[in-house]
Amino acid sequence: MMTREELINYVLDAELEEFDTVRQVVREWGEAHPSDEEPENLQYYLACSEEPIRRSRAELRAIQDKIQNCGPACLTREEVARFGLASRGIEGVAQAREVLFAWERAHPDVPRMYEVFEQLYMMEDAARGMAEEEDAARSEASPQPLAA
Amino acid sequence: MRDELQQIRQVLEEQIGRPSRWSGILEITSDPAVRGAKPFRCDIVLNESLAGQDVRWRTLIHEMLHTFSAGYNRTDFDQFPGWEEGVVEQCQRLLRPSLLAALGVRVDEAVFQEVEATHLYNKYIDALEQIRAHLSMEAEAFYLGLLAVPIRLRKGFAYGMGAALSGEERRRYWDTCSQGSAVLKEKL
Repeated sequence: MMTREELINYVLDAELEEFDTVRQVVREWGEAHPSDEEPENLQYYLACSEEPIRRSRAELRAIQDKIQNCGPACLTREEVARFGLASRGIEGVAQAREVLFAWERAHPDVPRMYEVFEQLYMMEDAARGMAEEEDAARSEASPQPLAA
Repeated sequence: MRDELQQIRQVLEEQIGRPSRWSGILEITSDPAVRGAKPFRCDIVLNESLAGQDVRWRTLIHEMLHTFSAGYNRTDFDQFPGWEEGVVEQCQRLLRPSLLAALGVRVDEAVFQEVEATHLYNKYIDALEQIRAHLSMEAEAFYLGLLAVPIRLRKGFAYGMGAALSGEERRRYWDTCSQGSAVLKEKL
């Protein structure tokens, strides 16, 4: 069974899709530790977390729809920045850069959003490194051909 | 700029009380979209156009602060960017005046404020400031405390600070933490 600290980090790391499972794990942990008030706190935290995550996802979906329906130029500065800062992975970063550059061409008087480009630079570095690590782990796990 | 980074590193090591992990390598880029970055190989990347500009100091300090950040790794940065960029950027703003004074550098604060007024990491800082507001904690202690905790564990560290609050205030704190967390790890 998880320690209290592990349980807290497990709950705080959970994605929305995992919340039902997480609630069950917290319930079971609480049954095994009846004098501990942490499970009640964590259930409260989970309940508070749902709405902001759903709202954030809905708002990001609305930005994506706007890009699809009328192009990056239609976005506000806040929307294009939010889209960039929420992008991940090699393809996601490339798409975000395209959106940012298209937006800049349509709004040449607005100063460049360096912070977004810099976070994208880091996200790309992260994604490439993680992909290399996965490749290395796969080749280590796969059997090597016998030498002739 | 390499010498300047070296000087910043020395002062920050004294201010923070821990060693930097900077490799000592400065990569100069001409990429017009990047002023500064701190790749995971622990080098620092700076744009050539920054040299000689007063505003460069904030970028140099920001990138150097990443080298003091605990648990600065690809996976955790990818999952929790706001818990890193927000913490580092606010540390930069808090430590810069004393750091530049220690280096004998004089720059009008208005130069930095012009950039920071509309800085896009302000949304991360706002989320962190709302969390801090419940704790009556001094800003430097809060942000340097977070910087010393591995990125992945920062939200747990913040959650744990709520234990010192009582009853309804504690619940309001966790409500704020959960809302802040949605901003600090927002992902498409």
